[in-house]
Amino acid sequence: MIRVAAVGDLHMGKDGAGLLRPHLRDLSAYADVLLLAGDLTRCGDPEEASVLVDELGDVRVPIVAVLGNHDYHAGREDDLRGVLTAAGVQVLEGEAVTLSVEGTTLGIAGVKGFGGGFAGACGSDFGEREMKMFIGHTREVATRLEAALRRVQGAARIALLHYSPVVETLQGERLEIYPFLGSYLLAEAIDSAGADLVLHGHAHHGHEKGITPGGVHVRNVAQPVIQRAYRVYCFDKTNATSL
Amino acid sequence: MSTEEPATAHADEYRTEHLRDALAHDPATAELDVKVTLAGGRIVLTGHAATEAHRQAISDIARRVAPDLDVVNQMDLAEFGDGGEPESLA
Repeated sequence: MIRVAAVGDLHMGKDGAGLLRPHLRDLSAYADVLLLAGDLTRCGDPEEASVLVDELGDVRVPIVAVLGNHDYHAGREDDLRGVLTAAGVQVLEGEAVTLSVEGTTLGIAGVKGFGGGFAGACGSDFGEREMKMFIGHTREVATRLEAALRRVQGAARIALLHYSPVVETLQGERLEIYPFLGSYLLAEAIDSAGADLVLHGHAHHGHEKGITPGGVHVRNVAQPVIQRAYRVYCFDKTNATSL
Repeated sequence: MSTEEPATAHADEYRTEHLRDALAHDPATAELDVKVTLAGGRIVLTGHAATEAHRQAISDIARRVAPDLDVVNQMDLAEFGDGGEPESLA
């Protein structure tokens, strides 16, 4: 059995010391890995990342993360990534990692993702340069995600995102902002390459559970949605190895 | 809108967005997720804040942006706890 703990949108500020640490102390009793689905910080300030790293200090399982839009706000995402990496957190952006877990392997491919919308109501890379850049970025990220998923090894494979690939996990958000919350291009990439689970955040008023058109489980683990320090998802090893 | 209609007819809508914009851009809050409602001469703030200090910072900015209005901050503090019952995925 592979046990995956996940949370997104912690939005750690400089005032966040002591907020998480008590709840993560015993995490290794319940999970084999901790995945962080972006918006780790409030403003993208590396000092906020340092507070988060301290909060993660008692976690005794591997930690893998992607960044979210808040983590880019200060334009210091490389510094932020450096703080996290130095503390042993693996930060993925178009990259993948395979972990040994309970005698089997777990592959994780991660990207931030981006917006653009969903079938029937999405933007196109057409017209102004700015619009082409917007959707072009999403296409580029989706391509990186698909490539990372295709090359990652693992009896079970997870796509770790910040933005959502489907609308089901956005239910509760205002329809008008769906194009800023995710893109179908991410789901298409996932369905093309295959995965066992997609984890994302970003949609604070959304719904936890969804599924891609190709049948891959999607879970929105934004902290305001799960209302916990993390959620745990389990894979039966037999099912996972049947991929 | 007739030319006689005061320009403030939609001012509440603009003020609401100006406040949301301030909450997003002020480094003390960097908050995109506050619901701002302007009604009865009051600004009502709802949503989730990570800490009491963060909730207070949001109130402070609302008062600065709209000093002529009462600010009612009804934001909930984020709830943390353990992972709860795990979900088995087939």
